[in-house]
Amino acid sequence: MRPNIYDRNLNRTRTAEISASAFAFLFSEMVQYTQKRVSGINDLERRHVYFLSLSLSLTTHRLNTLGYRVGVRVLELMVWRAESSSKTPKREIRFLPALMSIHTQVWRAVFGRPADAIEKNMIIDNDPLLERHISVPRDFSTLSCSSFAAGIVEAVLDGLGFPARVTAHNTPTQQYPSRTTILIKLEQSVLEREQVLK
Amino acid sequence: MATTSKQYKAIGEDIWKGRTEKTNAELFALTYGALVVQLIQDYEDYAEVNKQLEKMGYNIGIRLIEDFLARSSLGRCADFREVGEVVAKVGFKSFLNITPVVTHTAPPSRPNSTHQQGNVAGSSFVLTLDENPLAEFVELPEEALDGGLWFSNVLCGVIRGALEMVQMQVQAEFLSDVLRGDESTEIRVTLLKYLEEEVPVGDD
Repeated sequence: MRPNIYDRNLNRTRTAEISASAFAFLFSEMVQYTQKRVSGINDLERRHVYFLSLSLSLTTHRLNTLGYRVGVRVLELMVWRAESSSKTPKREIRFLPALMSIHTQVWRAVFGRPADAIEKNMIIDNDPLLERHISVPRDFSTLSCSSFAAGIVEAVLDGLGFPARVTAHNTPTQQYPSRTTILIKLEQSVLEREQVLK
Repeated sequence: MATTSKQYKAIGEDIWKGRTEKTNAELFALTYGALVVQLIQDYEDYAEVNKQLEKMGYNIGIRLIEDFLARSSLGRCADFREVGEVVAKVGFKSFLNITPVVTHTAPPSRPNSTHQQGNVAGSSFVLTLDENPLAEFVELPEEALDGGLWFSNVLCGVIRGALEMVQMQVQAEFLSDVLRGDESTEIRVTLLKYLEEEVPVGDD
């Protein structure tokens, strides 16, 4: 009789690894599928600026959605594991500590290391894992594969009680050509709540 | 075989330990799950989802083989039996850190057959996966079970694509999956034929 999946130890695969290239191939194919699904087959159509920007934003949105699904589960696992081993489980109700925990815990759990920098409402990654093996075609230069990561962040924030609109932006520097900034725009209700708690 | 099963196992371990950049397996599992859910939403038909997963796997496989050959530096396999050993012990190990059990099947016997046993069309091997990194957090709902979804069908495509690039046309399909309540998770890979290497135009 096969053991029930719900009886499995939650920590079983916590440190499990697979090859980075396996993930890269999967992610790359996922991005291509997302693009193909959105863009028209007619080349003539694709040259229309309006159509191109529409297809870009749709692709971004879909990558964000895929990331969101992952983020919901990342948060669940993280919270179960962190709080179950803590003597004083607590819940963050202020935005800045929540942002800190995303910068450190979520990034470490998902990408293997904390993010590089954090500002008032931004998370900065100098060398995003997701961009590493993707070559974005010239047409899609404003597409950020980190929209997937933005989706993960959005889901975690939602789950923690900080609904927001989260977007990813390519912000390259000389030193870090793949540098990406994840921008968090908190919903009005959260901003008001933060004011009250000041 | 020139190289024994045990030696291939050691080669696989070696590559995993020394020549492989590693990353979080849970992110991999969750990302794949998100993709399958997206496909189900897009196509609404499980047979079509199976097809799409296989196709995506094929696209991955035709590129993955290069990565594999670069990291493993293995030469050509002598026969299809050896292909099975390499796929299971070196291929799966170096990418997914698992070593499925390989069971070889001789092709249906033909009268007056003088072909070398291991190279006949119809030769096949079955990979039995004890663990599946794609399915870590998965439980299939009723309708997916009824609809015939093979959750990890991408693996079949990867095998088909990778082997096609080394001149073998194969058919890879799931026979059973623990996600569907079966005893084990099995993929059968059958050799259809060897492909002729294309001679570039202009070569005499």
